[in-house]
Amino acid sequence: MKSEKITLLILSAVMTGLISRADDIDDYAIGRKGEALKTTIQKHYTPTRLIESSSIYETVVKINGNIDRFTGTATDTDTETSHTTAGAALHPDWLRMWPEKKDAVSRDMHNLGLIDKSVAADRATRPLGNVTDVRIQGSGWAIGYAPYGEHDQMECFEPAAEYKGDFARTMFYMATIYTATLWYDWGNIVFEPNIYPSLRKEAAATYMKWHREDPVDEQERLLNDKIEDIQGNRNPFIDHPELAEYLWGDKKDIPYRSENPSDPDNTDRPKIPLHGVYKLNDGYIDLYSPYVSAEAQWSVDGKSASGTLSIHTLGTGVHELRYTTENEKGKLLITIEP
Amino acid sequence: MKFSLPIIVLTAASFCLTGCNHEKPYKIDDPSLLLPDDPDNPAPPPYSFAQELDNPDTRYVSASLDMAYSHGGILVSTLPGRIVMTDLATGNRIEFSGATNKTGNITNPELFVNGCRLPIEQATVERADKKGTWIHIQAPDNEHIVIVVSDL
Repeated sequence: MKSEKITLLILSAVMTGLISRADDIDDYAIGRKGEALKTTIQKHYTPTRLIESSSIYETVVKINGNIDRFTGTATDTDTETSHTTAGAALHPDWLRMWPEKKDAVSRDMHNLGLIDKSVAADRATRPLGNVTDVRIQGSGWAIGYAPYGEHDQMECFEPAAEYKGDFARTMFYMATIYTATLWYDWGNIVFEPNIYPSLRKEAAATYMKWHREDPVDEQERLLNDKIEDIQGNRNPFIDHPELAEYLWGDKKDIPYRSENPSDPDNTDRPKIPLHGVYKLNDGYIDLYSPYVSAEAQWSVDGKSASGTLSIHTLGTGVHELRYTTENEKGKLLITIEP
Repeated sequence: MKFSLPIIVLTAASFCLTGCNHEKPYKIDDPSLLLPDDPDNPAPPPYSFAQELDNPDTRYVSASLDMAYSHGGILVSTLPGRIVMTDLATGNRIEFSGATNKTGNITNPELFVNGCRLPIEQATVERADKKGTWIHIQAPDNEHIVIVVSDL
C-alpha cells in the first residue's frame, strides 16, 4: 500500500513536471510578439545540460535509430563499420567567432542527426534550402545552386522531402536559442546579426514553407521526448507548431495567442495567464499568472473576484485587478478592446 | 569748424567716465574654473529628484528600461522589503530589495533587471508615506534610477 502511494506520488511529480514544462509557452508567451516572444522562448527552452563531445555519435544513434533524416534512408549504425556520422542542421562553423556557442551548437541534440559520411563531406557547411540547379544528387536529396534574394548563386543542401518540416522546426529552434551579432560562412546569408527576426526573410520563407507542408508527426514528437530526457529541453516548435507563424509567418505582427481549447467551463484546459490587452471575443479572463501565487485573493475594479471572468460582463475599457496573499499584494491594469 | 559747448562737455565727460571705470571691459573668470575637466573624474551633471516627488505614478525609470503602470500590462507586486514589476507584454522584470518603509539611505539594496544584478552606488527612500514609496537609486556613470510604488 505504501509503495503504491509512493509510486503515485512519483508519477504525480513526474506528470506535474511534464505539464509545467509543456505549459511554459502557454504561461509566458501569450500576449507577446516579435523579439519579446522570441526572447521568452529562448529563456525557457535553452538546454539545461549538454552531452560530452565524446558521446555525440552514440547519442545521435540512440535517439535517431538508424534513420538518416538528411537523405531519408535507413543506414548501418554499427560504430565499427558505419558509413554515417553526426550531421548538423546549423553548421557549428557558422559560429566560429563564438567558441562557447559553437561548442553548444555542436552538442545540441536538437541540431544533430545521422548523415552518410560521403554526403556530409559533399554538403560541407552549406545551408539547408531548395536546390534548383542540381550539382550532386542522391535518392531524395541534392546539392546545388538556388536563387536566394540577391545571392542568385547560393549553394545549398536539400534534404529528403519527408523530413523538410523536421529540419525547418530545427532551424526555428536554433534561430531562437542561438543568436549572434556576427555569422560566418553560409550562416551569414541564413541569419541576420540580431535577436529578431534572426532568420533572413528568404530563409524564413523557405523554412515556413517546409514547416507548413510537412507538419509535426508522432516520430518527431518521440524524438523531442528523447532529447528532453538527454539535455532537459524540448523544441517548442514541435509542441506548439503555431509559434513559427507568430515569429516568421502570417501572424508575425500580432501577439501570440493560445491554440488550446477555449471553453471556460473545461477544467482540464490550461489556464490563460493574465496579459495587458484582451479582445471582447477572447470570451473570458482567467485570474491566473505564473508570477502570482495560486492562493492569491483577487478583486477587479474594487469587487472581489475569483476563477474565470466573462469579458463581456466586464466590458470594453481599462480595468484594475488587484490581489493579496499572506505577505504580498499587487495590481495590474488590463485593457479590453472591442 | 564750430563745436557747440554741450557736445564738447558731453564728450569730455564720457572720456572721463571711461577712464575712471575700474571695472574691466571684459569678464575674468575664476582661474580654477578655467582648468580643463579631469577626464577621469568629470563633474556629474546636475540632478534633482524633486520633480519625481510631484509625480505619484507607479513606475520604474532608467536609462535602459522604463515601465509605467498607467500604460497597462505592468504587474506590480510588493512584499516586505521587495518590489517587483513585470511587463507582461515583453517579460521584462525588475526586482528591488531593501527596507523601504522609512526615508533615508537603504542598507544592502539590490536591483535585478531581467535576472541580472545591477551595480548600485546608493539607494535612498526619498519619500515613504500612506500614498506610496519614492526610491532614488544612484548607479555608476551618474545614472539615476527611479522606482515609485503608490496606491498599493
